[in-house]
Amino acid sequence: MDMDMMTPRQTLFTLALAFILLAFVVELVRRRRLREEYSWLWVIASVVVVVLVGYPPLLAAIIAASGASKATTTIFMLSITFLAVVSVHMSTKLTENKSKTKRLAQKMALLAARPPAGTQTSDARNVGFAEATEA
Amino acid sequence: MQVKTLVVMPAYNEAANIGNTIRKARQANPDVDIAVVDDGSMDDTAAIATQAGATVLPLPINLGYGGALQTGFMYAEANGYDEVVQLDSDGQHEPACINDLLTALRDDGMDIVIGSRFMGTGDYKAPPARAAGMALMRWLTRVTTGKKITDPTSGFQALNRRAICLYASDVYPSDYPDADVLIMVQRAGLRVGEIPVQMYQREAGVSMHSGLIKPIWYMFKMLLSIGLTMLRKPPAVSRSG
Repeated sequence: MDMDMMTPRQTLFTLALAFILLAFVVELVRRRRLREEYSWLWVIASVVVVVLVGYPPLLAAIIAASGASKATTTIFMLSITFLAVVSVHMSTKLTENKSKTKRLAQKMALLAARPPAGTQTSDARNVGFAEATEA
Repeated sequence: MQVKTLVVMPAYNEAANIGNTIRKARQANPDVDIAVVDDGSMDDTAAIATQAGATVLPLPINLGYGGALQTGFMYAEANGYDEVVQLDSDGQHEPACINDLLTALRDDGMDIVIGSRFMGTGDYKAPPARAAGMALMRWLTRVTTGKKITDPTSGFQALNRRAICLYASDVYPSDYPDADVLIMVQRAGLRVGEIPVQMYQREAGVSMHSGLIKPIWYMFKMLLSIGLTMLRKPPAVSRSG
């Protein structure tokens, strides 16, 4: 079977990119700009790239299995799939966040409930809260 | 024991209509409490509602119709209300029909009673595109539940304690409850009935279903939502309520 493996220059360049990504992610986590729970996907991605590029037989096996003819194409395909997974993962986190925000807002509305004009509320604390949230 | 009934009115920038609607509702039934869920209005909606005699639940951020309505159900659940009537703030629903809905809820042993535009009362005329959308919803509700509901899109409904607790829970859709909710509650075993009511065109302001793209997008979302409702297991509902 005739396959275009990566040239040494391509290999070196890809490895460098993978290491930069890894370093960037680790630095973000270290500075607490990125939470650990969201960093593992990116760490895994850079490690996978390093393994694939650093160990050509594995890459060759994947190329053969996917039916691609070029190593670079296979890398691209894997990257795009990975990015799609990350996007969906982000959407689930967004959904979770939105549900929590909604519940928070609703609970707050209940706490800040204002009685109709002309009625006295029995709970003075509630009135204070309503005023505080309006300010 | 005295039955506690709450009228829930979600409102977003409805200063022009809400005062009248609340006054008409109180006139129609002085025994009910009224809660206006102020969905982050930028006008005087909240102040007018307070003056007109409603409890105001001020949402700190705009949640949209479904989220606002659900806030009302949470309030009803937390404060021990036995019945809720959903009433739109914009004057489209005739407040006098609240009593008909409640009577049907109590006498017919229903968990949810829908006020229908299409059962003879009133002269509501939907524009052709909206009429087609409503027809599609009607058909989908019928084939999925086997029960004919003439107006599954109606937001004028009365609900008992069982339905209130279900609507306050996380199974309730956050964006816009419609036929998908009716399909869900019937799959859960709740009894849904329908009576004719009077509805009007809006008195002032703009409907949330306006424009060209929005209704198409809405239909798309609703079809998706109904499909997903059918894929999910029906939610568990307590028998006692």
